[in-house]
Amino acid sequence: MTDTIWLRFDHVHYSYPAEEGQKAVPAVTDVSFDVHEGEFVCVLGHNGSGKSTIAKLSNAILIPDQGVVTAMEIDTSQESRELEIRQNVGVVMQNPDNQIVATIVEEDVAFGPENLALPQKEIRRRVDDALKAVDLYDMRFHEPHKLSGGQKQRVAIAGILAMEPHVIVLDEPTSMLDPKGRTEVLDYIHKLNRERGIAVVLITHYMDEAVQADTVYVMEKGRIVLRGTPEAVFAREDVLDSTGLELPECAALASALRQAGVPMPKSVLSPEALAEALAQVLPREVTP
Amino acid sequence: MLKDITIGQFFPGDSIIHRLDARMKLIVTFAAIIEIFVCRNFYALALTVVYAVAAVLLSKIKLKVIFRGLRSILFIILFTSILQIFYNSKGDTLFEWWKIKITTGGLIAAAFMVIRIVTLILISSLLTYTTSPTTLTDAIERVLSPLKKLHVPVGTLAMMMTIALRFIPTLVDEVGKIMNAQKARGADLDTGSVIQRAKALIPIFVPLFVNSFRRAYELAFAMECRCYSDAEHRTRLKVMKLHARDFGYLGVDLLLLGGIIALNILFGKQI
Repeated sequence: MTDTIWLRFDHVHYSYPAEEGQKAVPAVTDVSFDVHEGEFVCVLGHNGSGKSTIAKLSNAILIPDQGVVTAMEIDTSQESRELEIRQNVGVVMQNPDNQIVATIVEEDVAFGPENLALPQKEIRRRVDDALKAVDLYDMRFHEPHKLSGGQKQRVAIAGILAMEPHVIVLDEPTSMLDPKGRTEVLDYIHKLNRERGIAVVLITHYMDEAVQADTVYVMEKGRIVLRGTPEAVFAREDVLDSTGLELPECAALASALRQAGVPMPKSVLSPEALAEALAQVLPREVTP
Repeated sequence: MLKDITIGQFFPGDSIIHRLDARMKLIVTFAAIIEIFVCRNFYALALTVVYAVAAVLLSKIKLKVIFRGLRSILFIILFTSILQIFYNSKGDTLFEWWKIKITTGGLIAAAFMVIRIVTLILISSLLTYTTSPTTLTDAIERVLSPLKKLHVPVGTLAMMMTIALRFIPTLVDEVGKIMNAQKARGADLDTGSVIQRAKALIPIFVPLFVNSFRRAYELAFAMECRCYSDAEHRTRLKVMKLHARDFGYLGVDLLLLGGIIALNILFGKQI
């Protein structure tokens, strides 16, 4: 990983405007983190932990009350450079139905580049490229409402991809999908990160989606309470317990085994690691 | 009930009608609608019927779809024709009872009206069947673009239309889900008087409206994320170009107009 920072949160505070007669509740308090070139970052948190606010702060939809958000070295509070920021930091939301604008797949993907007032040939190139990246090129003339949830979310991702952003922020992109759609969408997110070097900020409450990330941030009540590699973060069960997040299945099993007195290493995140750990402790020869 | 709504739906295809330029289709369709009302006798009307049927056949849209679209306006057809029968008292009286009088003139007028409405629906629904809603709004935007000089926000209006069209299937789905949810809670939607049934719809529409506002909010956010700032300075993926076939289409329409005028003069006013 190089030193170029593509997205930076520097001591960011944000509260939503208070409704009449109510006190403003801080959504995000003193949040700092960096997203480096090509990094895969996962922000974990339960409902109301302020993680969706992170998405809106990252591309100038919201401007921090205190602190600074910098996207590709542009301060997001510079209103005149709003479009530049949004083109560089794309945000994909939870519900694919509410972010598809057009009635034909390719026309929806073209929405972003059209707004950037690009020449027609360039729009065509970007649309085709984005659709191929999520393997929907063959379905470019379909109507979005006839696609499956996973496919709709891929259309939404392609729509962001067509703006050729450096960073893609995904706000719970899988929470409305069935298990099949979930793996499908996650696979494409990882592929884009790997093959195109796009930095990804995956905001989620599924801990197992964080296993393959470079860096994990755990949020609770608007603050970052844990940060580090997935192995380091998942080893801190003491902190994780209070956030109400659930450990990935393999880690949960390893933790239960440990409590039952079976020696288990600290960071067991994948089925392979779990199998290896179990092989160490199980009797070698099984008698029928 | 909701599945019957086919007006405003698009059926992708590759027929000659599909490939015509949307702007030309829009203009010619409007012209044809006016032409239908110019007809003063059955001969001229027959010509528009031939035109409409030929267009339907060329579009290769399944006839089943066409009939389904007509079925949804059956009530309007019946209502207007009944009105014509009672209202028009020219010609020989065929039947008389109390204040109701049916005359040959009334029957002819009703038949004329029915044919006129059906042709009208055929021609106008063919426009939406063969043109994708986005292309259509695009065409409307371009046809109306001279109005931009008068500061009419044509682009914004077109964008609103696109979004409305985009959300029709989503909202129809949602109505179905809410109906089922309310039925599962014991709502009775199908029996009772008209007033009772109308009242039973309130728990359907309230959540629908609330959800629509939430959707609108999220959609606005998603559009902002995709750099939407104003609709008047966007470029387009699809460039519209007029081909020889588009002028051919216009030519056919002009021939139709000529034919109608000729037949109107030749046979005079029948209705």
